[in-house]
Amino acid sequence: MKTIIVGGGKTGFYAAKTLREHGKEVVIIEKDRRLCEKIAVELDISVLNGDGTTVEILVEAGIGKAEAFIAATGKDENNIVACQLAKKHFKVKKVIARVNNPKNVKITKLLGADIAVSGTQILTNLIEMEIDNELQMLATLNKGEAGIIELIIPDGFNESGKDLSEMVLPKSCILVAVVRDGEMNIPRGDFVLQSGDSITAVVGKDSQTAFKRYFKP
Amino acid sequence: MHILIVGCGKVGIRLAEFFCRKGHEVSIAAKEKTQLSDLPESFTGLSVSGVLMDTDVLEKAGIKECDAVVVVDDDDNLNIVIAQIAKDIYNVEDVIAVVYDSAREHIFEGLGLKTVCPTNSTVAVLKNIVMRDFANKLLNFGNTTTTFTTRSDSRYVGKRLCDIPLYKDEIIYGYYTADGKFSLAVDLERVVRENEKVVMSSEVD
Repeated sequence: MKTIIVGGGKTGFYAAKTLREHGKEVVIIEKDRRLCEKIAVELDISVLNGDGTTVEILVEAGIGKAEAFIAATGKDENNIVACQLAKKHFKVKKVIARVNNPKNVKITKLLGADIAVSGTQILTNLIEMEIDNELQMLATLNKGEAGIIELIIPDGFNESGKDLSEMVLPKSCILVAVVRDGEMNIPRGDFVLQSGDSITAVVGKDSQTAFKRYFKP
Repeated sequence: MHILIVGCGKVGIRLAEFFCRKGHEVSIAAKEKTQLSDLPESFTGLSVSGVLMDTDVLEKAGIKECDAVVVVDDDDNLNIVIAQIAKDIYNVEDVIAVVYDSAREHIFEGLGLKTVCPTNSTVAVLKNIVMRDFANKLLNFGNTTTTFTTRSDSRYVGKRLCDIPLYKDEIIYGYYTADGKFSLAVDLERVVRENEKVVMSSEVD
């Protein structure tokens, strides 16, 4: 499978490196000639010097055979245009955009990228999660019908001591992981939850409030 | 009409000045605050500055109340994105963007954007001057520009109209006879005579 990456900065470089380690064929397109030379020396991939938002260079990179396309430059407008060329003109199956300004996530998705990744937003969410121990939505399933939720069990949890099979959890909810003292557990019926555990659960949309209330009355 | 001009270079400023003089409600958005000082004193419209693809900046410039948006920054990709934001997110009826790279312009025009390529227009004008095709006219049909060029060349004499060498994408439009009368090139079998001029037409943009 061939992947084309536009932009050879940190994001593009490490994406290329990771994909190469997984045995994928990768081509990087980068405007800056010196950066191109550096990448070519460090990674075993093809590097093209040019503007990845132009048709000619995309053709030269073999976009007709690409199954995935990543636009990872530092400018959102360039990433959007590169993605639109890949998606709408060259019909690449999977098109991913790096979003520099989190404000542009919605626009980027609307205008052609299948996936819009904002590093800033991911970091902000992580920091927010560290600061605020409230319930966190890690991901949504089937457009929000269910969510993967993470929650830290507060002090004085009143079901402490009961094992999972004895607990009456809200409907449509499955506990999938428990992190205790930095150690990951996949809980079975005999697992006993305690305050301070970080639990991850798949919870249906209508049970999310009940789920939160169960642990944080 | 309420017109928003995005981009405050020479073109943006001239357009803003023109629409303002014509009595339209005009707003202009600039990348840099310093660009706004180039606006003439006669400009009475709204001017804002900031990151041009930021919807907050566009809203401050009144994109929600606009009838038309003209995007004339010097960065092709920025223009393409802003034009689509105006068209697809704010549903502005008339949106037109300047795109300098003609290959890219062609693709985004195909994807439904109204675009103008200054490179193509400039090249057409310069080419005609250098080739001494002085009597050159430009005509717009929708947002497609066509040129009409009159040429006289002794090598044409004795040739049928359909045998005259043409540039790519050019057609024979008509001819002037020696007494200055114009006819459309309905009959391409007609043979060109002494002192006649031929009019070619081609699509520029």
